[in-house]
Amino acid sequence: MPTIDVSQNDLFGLLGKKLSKNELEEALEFIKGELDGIEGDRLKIDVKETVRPEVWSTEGIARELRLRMGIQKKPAEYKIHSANYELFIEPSVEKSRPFIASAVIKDISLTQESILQIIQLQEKIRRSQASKNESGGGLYDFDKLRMPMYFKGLKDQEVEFIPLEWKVPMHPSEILAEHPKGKEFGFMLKGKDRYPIVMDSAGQVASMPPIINSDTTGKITTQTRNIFVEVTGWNWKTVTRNLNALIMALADRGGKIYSVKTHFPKTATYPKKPINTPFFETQTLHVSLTEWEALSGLKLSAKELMALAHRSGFEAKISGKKMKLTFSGQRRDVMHPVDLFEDLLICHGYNRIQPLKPELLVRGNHLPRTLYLDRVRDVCTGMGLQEILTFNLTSKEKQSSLIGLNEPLVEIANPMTENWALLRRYLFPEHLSFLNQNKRFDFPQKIFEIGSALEPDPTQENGVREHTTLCIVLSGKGHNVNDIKSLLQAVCLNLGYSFEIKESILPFLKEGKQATFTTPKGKGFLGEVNEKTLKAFGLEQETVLMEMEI
Amino acid sequence: MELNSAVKALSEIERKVLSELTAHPLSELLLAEKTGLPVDSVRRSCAWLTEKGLASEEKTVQKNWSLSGKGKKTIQEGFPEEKLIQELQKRGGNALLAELSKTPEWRNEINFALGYAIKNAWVTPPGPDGKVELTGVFNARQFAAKQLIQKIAGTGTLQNEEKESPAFKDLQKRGLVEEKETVQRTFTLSPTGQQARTLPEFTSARTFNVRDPAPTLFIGKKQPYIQFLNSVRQKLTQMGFQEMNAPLIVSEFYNFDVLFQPQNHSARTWTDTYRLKFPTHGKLPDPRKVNAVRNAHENGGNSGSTGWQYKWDPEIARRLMPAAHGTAHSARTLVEGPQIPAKYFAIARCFRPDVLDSTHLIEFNQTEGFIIGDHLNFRHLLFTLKEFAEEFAGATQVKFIPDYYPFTEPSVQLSAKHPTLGWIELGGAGMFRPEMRRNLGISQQVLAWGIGIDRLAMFKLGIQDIRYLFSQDLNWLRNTPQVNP
Repeated sequence: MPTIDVSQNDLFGLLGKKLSKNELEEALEFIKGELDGIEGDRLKIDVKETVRPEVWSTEGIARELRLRMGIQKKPAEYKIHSANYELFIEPSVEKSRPFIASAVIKDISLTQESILQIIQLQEKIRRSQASKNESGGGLYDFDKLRMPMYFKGLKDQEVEFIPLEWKVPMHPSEILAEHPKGKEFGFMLKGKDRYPIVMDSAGQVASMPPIINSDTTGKITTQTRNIFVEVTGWNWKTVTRNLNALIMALADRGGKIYSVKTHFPKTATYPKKPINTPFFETQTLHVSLTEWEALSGLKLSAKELMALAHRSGFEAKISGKKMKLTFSGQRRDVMHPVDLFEDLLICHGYNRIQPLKPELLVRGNHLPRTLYLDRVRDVCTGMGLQEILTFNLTSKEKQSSLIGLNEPLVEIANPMTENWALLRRYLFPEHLSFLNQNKRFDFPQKIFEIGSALEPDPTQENGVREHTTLCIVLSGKGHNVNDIKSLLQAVCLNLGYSFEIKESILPFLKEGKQATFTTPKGKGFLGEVNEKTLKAFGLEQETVLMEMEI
Repeated sequence: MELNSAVKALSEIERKVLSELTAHPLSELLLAEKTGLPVDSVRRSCAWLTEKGLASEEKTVQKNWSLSGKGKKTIQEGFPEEKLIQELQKRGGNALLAELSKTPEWRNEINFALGYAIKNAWVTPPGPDGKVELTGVFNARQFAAKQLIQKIAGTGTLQNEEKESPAFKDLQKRGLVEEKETVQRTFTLSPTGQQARTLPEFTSARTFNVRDPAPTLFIGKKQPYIQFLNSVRQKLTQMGFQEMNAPLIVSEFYNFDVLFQPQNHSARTWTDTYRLKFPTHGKLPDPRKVNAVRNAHENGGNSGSTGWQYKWDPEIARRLMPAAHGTAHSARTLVEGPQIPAKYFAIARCFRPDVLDSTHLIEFNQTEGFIIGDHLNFRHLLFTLKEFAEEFAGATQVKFIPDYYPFTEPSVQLSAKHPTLGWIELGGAGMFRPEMRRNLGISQQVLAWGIGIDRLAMFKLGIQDIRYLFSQDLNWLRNTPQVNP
């Protein structure tokens, strides 16, 4: 979810209206935006529209709100001029980063704030998409470039240039190794033997997308009047849409749009004919009003519906029970009529909708297991035990070396810390840790927990055997194995189980003071915790425990 | 009057001790003997009685002489010089020094013993023939050192002149005796105590001091958060919801793919969700269901949607993870075939990479579910949310805010006005996308919802730190009252 930093005054300027904090918060709901912070003139806005980069800037937010709030009646139209600019994609770049879409913006006058916004938008686009859908854009001082432009793949030794904020020319591999942006985004070019390079007709390097621009041409200031904009990536639709997001923002700041004719290599990856960029398309969807009514539960007149559609930025035509909606090609989030229905509902206002009680003949129920486990809980509390709750996540140490076991465990591939690196196989080590934190309180300490214990099991659909386990631990002077066996007997008696018990040699319990047992519900063990284990968990008092599947 | 009530409140053991006190100081030991109580009880009673002014305490520090370890050995085995003389007597009054030295048991002591005996003129110095001889001066009855050491072993007290005697100094020098300080506590009946014994309250039975705390009892009880979750379950079943299973480990298939989250979605990255290192992959269900999900992603399948337009990879769907959200369990119910109509819920343990602190848990519970049936629409969803707000947060006012979830359209956030906490974000909801339900053969609308109950749990339990839901503090657990449902 992108968080956009905007200037309130700038936003109100573009919107053509000042809003109170409450009004602003309500207005932001139209774009699924939430005010996350205010600091003087600066606002932080969380935008939940994760596939609509055109709203990730002050310009975009203002553009959307003008329409939804009725300040502007029709969606903004962007005129595209032509001056025969051209760009050639060379076959050498196909395997490194195949697509580029570009445009030229003229006669613009940027402020510090609008530069900040365009850079922020560029960054959000670059960071928004993972893997093959990723794309990134760059802006250049058009007056320093000589048209036409080229996009080519070059080997490390074939090219060097001064990257932004740097003093000396570097080869691509040096940039990836040394420049901060190279280090951060270098993974995007990992494993490529050719580096994607944007170059002008004079052989000047403009950038190595999506990593870094050249210091010579890739700097935009308040003095810049004409701008060359490009977006590169792996998917033609994505790069053209993301280019549009940048172009619309610059045009909203007063720039004039000029197209660039993009020439493609003659391979299967690319379109057959040259394409002028940017281009603004529309999409059309025929939706059923019956479906709309079934989903929304609203019966609106044709007139009301038309008004909602216009405010949503759609052109609409109703005939009978069908509605034809035409809308911006930018809307990558629209896959199905429901996506447009939601826009209509948002424009109508969720809070104006009368909730309706669903009349369903259904019965509620606990899982039988839930009720059973609560009965086990009752048995345990009846024995005077305090229930505790510990995490399933724990450390490898507690589940293996500290208890002298080395069994297969369900491990996390990307743990945040070693303390939470796997899901427990036993509950009792967590209980010994618990006791360690409570040594200063009155003894005896008598605790229990009913929780999950996991072990790898390839025969299961989800790869693990997860069984519910009851763990009881008693700690304090004079506790012995007989005390815990009494509890086992009481548990079994009250749950109606028989059990079979035999001697065992578990490494964390005292020799000759322990046993394993089976009940119809599974296996278990009990005994006195040995000195070594007590010491490992920093405990001094005599401690007995049992753990059983239930 | 004060004394009367103080006497009235005296415990049984205090009474016993007070009865035995006299105007003369008595030791704790003696009092224990007289009362027949353990010394510890007497000690405590004496301290209380003194505090109440009924007795007075005197401490005397006594210096006593006692035998050292070496001294105790000596008194058992005899002094070395004594043993030398006895040995000489056995041998007829004289012996060769070389022979005496051979006796193994006192070989080490012979030099000292001989030197001492010669000094006291009990034995002659060795002659040119190497013989030593008894002089006859030694008189066992006048062996002062022996008499003294026996006296010390007996009483520990000595007369002043005895302490000054050369024999005593000799014992000290030889390290056979040592001085120890002991504090002797004695208790005397105070005038108030004397008066107290005359009061009628002293002989009548002790009254229970209602203000004194009785011993603390820790009862067996359920964990507070468990109690809260049980009450949530109870409410949901009363509202007609039936409970779903919520396993801890799920495949990405249920966590993401069924829920129409594209495989390159940013929420599926390494930083947002956990993955398992071992085991890594699970199994996919019925191939027809898998195909339905594949179609939804690749081209929308039979749902009238374009889908995400990419090649769906079943290997990614097989990857295992700890459930990241409860909706994974709704997804499974939809795949396995829900009852229709029905209302479902689960309280699911969820895992996301985060740092444990006072506002974040590394694993948490999500309460979520769905309603399925004919002719359900968005208005029914809003009603359900409003009902949740009233039931769980006691809210009288609610706000519905547009929201985004990859698997619902439309999506809505529920904001509720809690009587104490004010406006809180209580839940998220929406209508499951047609791509996911239609491809699974479900033509009905499915109203999906999730409510954030942890905030309410914290409020109910009166805690500021979310970690207390999984409290590691036994004292808090013992002292937290039963949770009001």
